[in-house]
Amino acid sequence: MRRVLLSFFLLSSFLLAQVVIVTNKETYLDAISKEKIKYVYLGKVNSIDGIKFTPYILNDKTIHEQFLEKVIEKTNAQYQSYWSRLLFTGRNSFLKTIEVDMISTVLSKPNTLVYMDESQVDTTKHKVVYKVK
Amino acid sequence: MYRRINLYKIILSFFIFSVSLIASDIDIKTFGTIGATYNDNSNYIHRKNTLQKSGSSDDLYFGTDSLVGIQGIYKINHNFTALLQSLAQKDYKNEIKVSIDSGYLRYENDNNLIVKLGRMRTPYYRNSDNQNIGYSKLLVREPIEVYGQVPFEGYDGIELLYTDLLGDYFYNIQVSYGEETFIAPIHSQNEEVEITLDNLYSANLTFGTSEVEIRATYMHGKISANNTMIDTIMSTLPASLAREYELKNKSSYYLGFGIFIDYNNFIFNSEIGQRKVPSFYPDIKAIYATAGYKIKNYTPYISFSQSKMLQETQINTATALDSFMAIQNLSQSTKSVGVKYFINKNIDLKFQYDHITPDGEYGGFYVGVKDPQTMNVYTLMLDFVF
Repeated sequence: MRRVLLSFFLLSSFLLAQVVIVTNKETYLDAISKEKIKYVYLGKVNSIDGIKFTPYILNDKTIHEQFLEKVIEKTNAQYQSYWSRLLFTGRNSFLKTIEVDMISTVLSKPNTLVYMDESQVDTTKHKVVYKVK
Repeated sequence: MYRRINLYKIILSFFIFSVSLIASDIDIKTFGTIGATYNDNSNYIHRKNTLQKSGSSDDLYFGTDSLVGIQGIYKINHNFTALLQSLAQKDYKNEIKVSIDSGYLRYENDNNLIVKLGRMRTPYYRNSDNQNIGYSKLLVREPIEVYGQVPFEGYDGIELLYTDLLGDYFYNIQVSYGEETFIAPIHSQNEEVEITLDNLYSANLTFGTSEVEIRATYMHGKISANNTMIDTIMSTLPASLAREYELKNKSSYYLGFGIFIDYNNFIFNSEIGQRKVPSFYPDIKAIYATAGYKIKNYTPYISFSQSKMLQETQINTATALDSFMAIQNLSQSTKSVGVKYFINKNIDLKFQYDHITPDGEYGGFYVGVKDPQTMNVYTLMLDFVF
């Protein structure tokens, strides 16, 4: 019975995961459009409205793939291939990957961007700038 | 042979010095391709580009696309990095050669400006920068009809890259200035030509969204060719003909446009370009169009490319120039079908079939015969990045 409940809980978590894009509480932008988030994560630009953002990749397969599918609109393989072009042409460095428990540490720095499950947002420290629809 | 001190050697020295100081701050990546090619027509040698000597000629050949590279990036501080990229592949003498493909100092500020100083790849085409990174590309190799128009791939100089947003659109302006010296083989004559490019400058503009991009590029250079056989031919010509056909400090350009669509699972890439070098190196225009559709980790695609001479290569001057010009005909077309399979984040596998049709006497980019014959080329390759 416990296993059934646990499986149900995990499945529910997966289905209910709501991906949000989060930045440092002190960042003066309150919202960033999906297109601009794509530009940053695709390395098209490094700053938005005069702010240089440092984007991070989250080492959480479910959240990461939802982010790529809903925001970047690429599969993980396509995203890797895309970034290899930027990396090996010296255009950009690979984005740093962080663990879920490092989100608050990373977001303590100004002008960082990371995506996460909305249920884990700490509104005293984090600011949601885009919610995946 | 080279009369200049290459800037990349300075960068290389700086890079090695820096690395020796703080080895832990260097990010090392490797990339490469293992490819096998079969061309079914023994009258032609199929090659990746005009600089390559050997290739498949009714046999299985592993040297066309196979290469291995290593890249090191050393982060000096918040704004400065140094990059060095080295390649091992077969050169125009058919020997495996290790070369410095790129080596530069890179400055990036917080406002989307990047400045590079050193040795870089020439930026005329969409995939100029990453031609050797098979994993980052869809096709097994970029269409030679377009990418083979300008045969050199690098230069020493400076490059500025500025990107920004214009409403919901992004744009990217890239300008560069530099010089280059390289060896261009004439395979059919077993000759080597030293090519020098001075006052080499270019400007590229890319504009679009994350789904649709358009790109315009212009590159100018003053080109000279040094080769005893060519100089001898020119010395026998009447003065007016020699002035028209010699390649000495000739002002030349390449102009190109491209459109690139990556919408949902649909991919479409097309570039059109033309080179103008007022000399025995005749003017040419070329186009390619590639369409693909992503199905999970597979991307099947089709492609068509074509090159046409804008200058007559069959001339009748009753001099040695006539036969020399005849072999400058690069007209041909290629129909391709292939598939790219992403195995994982480090490796892909590709298969491509090309049907190549040379056009006109001595036509095409491959060492071949006077009367054009078609070729069927099959390529299987594995690309990796680590």
